[in-house]
Amino acid sequence: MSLRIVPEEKQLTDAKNTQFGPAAPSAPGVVDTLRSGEAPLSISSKVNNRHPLQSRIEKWDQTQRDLQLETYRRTFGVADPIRREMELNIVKETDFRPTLFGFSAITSPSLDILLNKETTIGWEDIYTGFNDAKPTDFHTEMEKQMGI
Amino acid sequence: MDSINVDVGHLKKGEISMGTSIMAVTFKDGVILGADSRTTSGSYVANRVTDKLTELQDNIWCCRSGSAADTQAVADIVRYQLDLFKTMNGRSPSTRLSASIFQEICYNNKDSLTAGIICAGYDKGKGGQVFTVPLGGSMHQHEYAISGSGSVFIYGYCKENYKPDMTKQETIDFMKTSLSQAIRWDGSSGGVIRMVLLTADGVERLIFYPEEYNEELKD
Amino acid sequence: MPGLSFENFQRNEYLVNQAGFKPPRATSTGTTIVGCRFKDGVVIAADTRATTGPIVADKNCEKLHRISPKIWCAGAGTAADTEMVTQLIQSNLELHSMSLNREPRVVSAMQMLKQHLFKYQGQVGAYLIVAGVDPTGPHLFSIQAHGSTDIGYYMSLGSGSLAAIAVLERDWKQDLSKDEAMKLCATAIQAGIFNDLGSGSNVDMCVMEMGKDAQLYRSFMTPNVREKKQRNYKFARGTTAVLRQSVFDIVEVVKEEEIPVGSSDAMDVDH
Repeated sequence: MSLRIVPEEKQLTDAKNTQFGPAAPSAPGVVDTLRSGEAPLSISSKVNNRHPLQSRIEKWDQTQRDLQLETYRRTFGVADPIRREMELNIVKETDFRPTLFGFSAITSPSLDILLNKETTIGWEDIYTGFNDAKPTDFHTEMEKQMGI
Repeated sequence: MDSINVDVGHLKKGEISMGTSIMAVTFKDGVILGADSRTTSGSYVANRVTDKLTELQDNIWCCRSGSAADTQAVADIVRYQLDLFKTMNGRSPSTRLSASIFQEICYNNKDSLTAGIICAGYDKGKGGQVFTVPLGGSMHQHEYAISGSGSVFIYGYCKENYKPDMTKQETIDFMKTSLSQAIRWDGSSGGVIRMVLLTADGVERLIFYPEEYNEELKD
Repeated sequence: MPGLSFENFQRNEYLVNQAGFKPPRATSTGTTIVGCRFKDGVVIAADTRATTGPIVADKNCEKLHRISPKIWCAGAGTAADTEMVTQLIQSNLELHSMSLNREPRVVSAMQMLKQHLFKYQGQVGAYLIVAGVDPTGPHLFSIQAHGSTDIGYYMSLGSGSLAAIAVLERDWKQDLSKDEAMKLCATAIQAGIFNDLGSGSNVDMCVMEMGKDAQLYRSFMTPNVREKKQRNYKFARGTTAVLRQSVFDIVEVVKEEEIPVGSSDAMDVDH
């Protein structure tokens, strides 16, 4: 509950060892090296040495949203941001998507309107990051097929 | 390279900064804000006629010092908040409220902002008021305030020469002398002296060119 | 994650710092751009050299970008950034003006640009001079990569800005006529072209006047025309004697046969 206008510039100071990969089902708390598909890396290498912009950009939209909700709270009372968040959640749960949009990047016009984004466009709309979806790995696929 | 160091106290590389001389002084009829007009990028004067006096409301203005980008962003947000307040409450926000919003934003974002603000305003009840919000995000009320890199040269002068309830002309002269000395001794202050007068009569803007305020250039 | 990808940052840092690779250099518009207001309009101008380090990457690139029909902007800094950022704001301004059913304003363009650039903390290296006319009159702004803006009657940006501002400071006066403003901008850009290594080639110019369409003058001045070669080194046809000639049919041309759409044979797909 504060007027944060830019995200906090913070490197992680602590992290769980399983934060960056699934834990092994047989040994909870231990990284499933087979599944994560990479050698056991030190957590510090995952946490440190990030681009100075990365955390700022990742948290930017949320920070702006929080700022706006805080402003609403101060102006209209706490009911207003609660109502807005509820509406947003309702819209998120529905998958109304007119076929008119075809395969375009527009995910939900209603969501855009609630977030006041229906007349803006950003890099996120152009570079949608669809390519980032990793294919399921060998182990998960086999476990699924064998019913383990 | 094990970590990325976040150096809060310094400007980002190549950023436009306002090594500045700014001040605001209350007087009999209200308050006057004043500033030099130099913006620098390293050793280059990026703009010699900058307007560092920013309007927040008709009767509330601020002087900006620090990073130009940061202070403009903050001033924009404060103006938005004050406009919203005015629309929703049907009355003008007070000078203290404006300064408080500055203070809150500067405090909450102090790790990523370089902004030193003097916020001053006039209203019928309280008359002229001056608040400063320095780098750490605190807020102080003063009868007069000086800030920015050039202000260090005029602390003594201002202390000796400020009198409460000066007339308009006395205040203008006092500020003109103070700022001209700040400009004279500080390399990152310069250009013209801009002033904004906030009184019951509304807003009045003044500008003084080097030929006028600089003793050496006078005939 | 949509938007900027930071995936390869650590790898690239390693390649540069430990493995000794040189990072590719961005094409920058080490540039001279200027803007100047006149009686009821505004004019911006730019040189046309793009550089990659010490190499001229493009001798006649375009540094004047259209944000809306009557709002144009000149860009200095990283060429790709100025180009992309103006394209994005162009789209946003169009959406905004359609949504409000009003002509786009220069201040809107400026505000969108500064807010966008502020978000990226100067990492998007776009230094812009935004100019245009809207129902409120002619406007001229400059925007720095970190998101700060300035207003002015005349301004210059880019590596050649020092040379250009000298000319502007000498010759600018209040209430210039359109022709005087155009001439002043052209002279300022030429000062950049001739005195700054990062600037060169031609002068591009855009004039925006109240109540008129914006006029883009591509190659308004060409002070660096390539000298015609004094001699022609082309050999005349027939200089080399043909001793022997043989012709081969490399491909045999068969007439194409049209298969009607929806024919069942062609659509056979293995299930």
